[in-house]
Amino acid sequence: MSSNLIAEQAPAFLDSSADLEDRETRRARHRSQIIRLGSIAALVAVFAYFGVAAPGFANLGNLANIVEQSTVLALLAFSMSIVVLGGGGDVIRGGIDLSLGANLGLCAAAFTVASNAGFSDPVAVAITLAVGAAVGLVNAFAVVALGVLPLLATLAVMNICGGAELVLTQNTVISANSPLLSYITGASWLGLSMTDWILVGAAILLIALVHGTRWGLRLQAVGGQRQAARAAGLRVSAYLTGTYVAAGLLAALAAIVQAARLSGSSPGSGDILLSVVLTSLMSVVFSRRLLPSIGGTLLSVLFIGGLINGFQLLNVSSYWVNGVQGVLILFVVAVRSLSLRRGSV
Amino acid sequence: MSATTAPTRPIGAQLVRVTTPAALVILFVIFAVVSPTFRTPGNILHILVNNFSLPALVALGMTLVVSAGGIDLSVGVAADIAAMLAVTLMQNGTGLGLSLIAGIGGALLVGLLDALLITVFGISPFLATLGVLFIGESVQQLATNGGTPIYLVSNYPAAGLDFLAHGQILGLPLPLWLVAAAVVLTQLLLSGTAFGRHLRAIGAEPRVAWYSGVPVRRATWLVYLLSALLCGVAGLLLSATVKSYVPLSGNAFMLDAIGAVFVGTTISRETRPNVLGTLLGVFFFGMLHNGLLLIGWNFYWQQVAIGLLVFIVLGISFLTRRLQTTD
Amino acid sequence: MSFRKRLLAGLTLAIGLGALVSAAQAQDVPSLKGKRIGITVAGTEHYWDLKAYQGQIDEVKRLGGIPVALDAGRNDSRQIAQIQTLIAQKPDVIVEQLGSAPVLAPWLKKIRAAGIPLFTVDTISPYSINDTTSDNYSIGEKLALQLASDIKGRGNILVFNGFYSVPVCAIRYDELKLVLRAFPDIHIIQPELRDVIPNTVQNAYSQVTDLLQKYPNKGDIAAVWSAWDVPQVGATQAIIAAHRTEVRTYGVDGSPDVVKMVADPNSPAAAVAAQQPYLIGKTAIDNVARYLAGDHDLPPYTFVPAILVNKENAAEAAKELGQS
Repeated sequence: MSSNLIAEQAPAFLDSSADLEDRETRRARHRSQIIRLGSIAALVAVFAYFGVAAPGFANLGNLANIVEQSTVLALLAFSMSIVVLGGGGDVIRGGIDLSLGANLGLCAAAFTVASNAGFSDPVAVAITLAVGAAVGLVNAFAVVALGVLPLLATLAVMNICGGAELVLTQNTVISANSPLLSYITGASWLGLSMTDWILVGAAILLIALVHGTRWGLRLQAVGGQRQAARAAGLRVSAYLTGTYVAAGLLAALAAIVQAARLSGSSPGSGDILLSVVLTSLMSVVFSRRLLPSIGGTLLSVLFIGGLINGFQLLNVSSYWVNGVQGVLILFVVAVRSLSLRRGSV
Repeated sequence: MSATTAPTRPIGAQLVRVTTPAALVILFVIFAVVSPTFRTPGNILHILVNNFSLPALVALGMTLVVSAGGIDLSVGVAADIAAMLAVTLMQNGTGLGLSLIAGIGGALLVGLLDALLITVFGISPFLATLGVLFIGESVQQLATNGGTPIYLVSNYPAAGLDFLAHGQILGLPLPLWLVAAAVVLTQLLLSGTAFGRHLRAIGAEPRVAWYSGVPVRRATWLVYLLSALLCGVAGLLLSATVKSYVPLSGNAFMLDAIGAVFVGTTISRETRPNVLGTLLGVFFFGMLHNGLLLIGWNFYWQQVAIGLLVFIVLGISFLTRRLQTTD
Repeated sequence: MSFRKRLLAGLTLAIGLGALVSAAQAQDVPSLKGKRIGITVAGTEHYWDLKAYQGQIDEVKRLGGIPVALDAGRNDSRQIAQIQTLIAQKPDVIVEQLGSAPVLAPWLKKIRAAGIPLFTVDTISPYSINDTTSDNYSIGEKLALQLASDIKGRGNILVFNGFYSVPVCAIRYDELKLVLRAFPDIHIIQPELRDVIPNTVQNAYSQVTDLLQKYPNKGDIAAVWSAWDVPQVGATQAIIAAHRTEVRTYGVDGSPDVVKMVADPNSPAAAVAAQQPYLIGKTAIDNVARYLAGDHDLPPYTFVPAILVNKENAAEAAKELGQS
């Protein structure tokens, strides 16, 4: 769908760059479609196997649990994908946000502390979103205005956020209880909890925004062909700033969900950076192009969530989970890169 | 993106490159004034041995990898596996030499796996080493029943092991000799030799390097194996210092090592990873940890301060560079 | 696939053997035959946690039940997810071991709301039918008194303030403060030190080394206290390396290696309050079995005795703990 959209709506420079594609690349793109379908088939197969072998896996309640357990990771992985899309896929020079996990921890602490200080839910939410967006702005300032490599800038910001969380919480668990938090974990609609709905809503909104709007397509242009985008008159720095701020806002949203699940803020709960990186980069195998997509990110997060859940239901030791996750991702990525190889070095 | 586009004025260029060393000197002076303990030779030596040598070994390996345009997120795994094998063998009564060799062998296996995934399977270094990191965590959990540490307390005749951590040759602690050896090795590889030129070519533009006959694969293998080797040595030093193996300890090095390498690039005219810069970067982090603790800052603020300082140094350095190149 | 088959085969074998043993050994404890017991633990990288976890699993198998054992790897979010899935699996009982009390509370409540009996190990909770644990008040008090008497009631001590949100650590820390009130000449050096997980040993080593530099004279620091024994290992190594063995170290849990350190007359490790984690785990499951067999009169707490190991009784204590 998105490639058609690009063909129809994209600014002229994208067409000209498309002309540069030789037949090899086009063939590679076909192969990548096959891989994408293959990856989705693998996901379906694994879930089908769990459905048959793991007692209770296919229950609606259990599937809703998987979604619920994946929500925080998914929101952060969306953030990462947006940053990578805007900054380009090169890991060292391209877009990456290592501060996401620490930002999550800081925002959860901010919400908890604000809530305990007597602020009402709307005010606490506003404070939390402001903190998340501020962290995103600092990242953007370093990357866009100062020209620091994203990898480095966000690494430093990660330390600042981690320390700020410690300062706020004194390294202890702080409980919070508010109508909003109980609503997020307690309320349900059509058999799905509010946590589930937050994920569903965020996913739909972001897919529409990133893959359906002019802003999203231009963002991808900025990430893919920065010089060309600049030449075509796009305000590259505004787009880049937007990605980091959006990432910060999503981290704040994830933090509120996290605070609801953990009844407050708990030290070390922001420790999911590597899973975020992994799922966001893994989304490539579910995407049409060699860059992450929101839909692909959603699929890979659910894949990992289903895997962890299925293992538990099969009574397989949780010590296997990380390893299997690692092998699986290497396997999919290797298959993809080997089959694309003939087209490029 | 890079600074090579415009020929910079020599004085201006030096100003940029001096940001990190200047910050280092200023902070050193501040710590020395505020904390009398900080400036004692004993403390400086302690920083070098305990806060500097281990991360320096890891970061030197990372310098090679980043020079070749890669990144190694599996450094912690290599260090952990080395420690795990060596300590387990010692626990079971194997001799020191054999245990250490086995440990290094284990670390090299990690490097081998990284290189295999990158060269043969064509996976990007970031994802390949991240995957290895996840697998390494599982391997350690399964091997240790979920992460039980192994302590070598009283039942191991640990004279040799003690020497590794606390021994001195010509008045210099052994860990610093190992760092010195690693410095010589990486410096030789990065400068002068054909290998160094190849690495730079690969780091700059892998496809061009491949077309112009640079043995990209061979260089990649070597770089990841060397990185794993240095991490293995660091892992063994760590277990010799605390006479134990604690699963999943090595990850603490990863982000600091990456940070140190890139902070180090700021002293190079072409923003390239370089040995001196890396060492300065590692010392910068080590000195901060030690100095902030000695001047009595609460650890909450220590972490904020470290993040802020790194942010400021990077900001100044990158900004001045950018202003120059747009002149 | 073959991996899974082998795993299942192994599991069946283990259960079969367990049933045999149980027929021979367990007269007083009722059988758990056919019962599925969910076991969720916060983490197992520490000797105590692992032994208590294994004690539970082994006892469930011995009594003929099926353990559904889950290790959260010291990650609150993961433990919550595991509990959530566990509730959906509807085991006959859930046993929860250690973890952050405020985080767990609503989820433990959900376990009860789902009609599943809840037992805890080392976690104080109003939703728990029975909590099997050491008497941490007595542990904290005995250890603090030993410290105070060893340093003759005066001196500065370094304190790793542990994880105050873990109730058992908070109790030990509070008991230390309570005892120190009676000893005005003992001062805690500020700021207190941080424990980290992972990399606890190396981190404690580095921090203690730094502070030995800061307080370079004999007598500047009298002792190091920690709420568990892993920082104690790092602190002890650092003190030996700095040749400052007049500084004594104190901790809780009694991993075999730490007990050996205390037994070594030259080691600065002065005392460790040794718990019996394996027995704690086993006892918890025995309580579960009694409950499922109809005994609903269980006490809210079952205390398993701990032994204060010091230089005098170390060899003997190791035997009593089954460690030598």
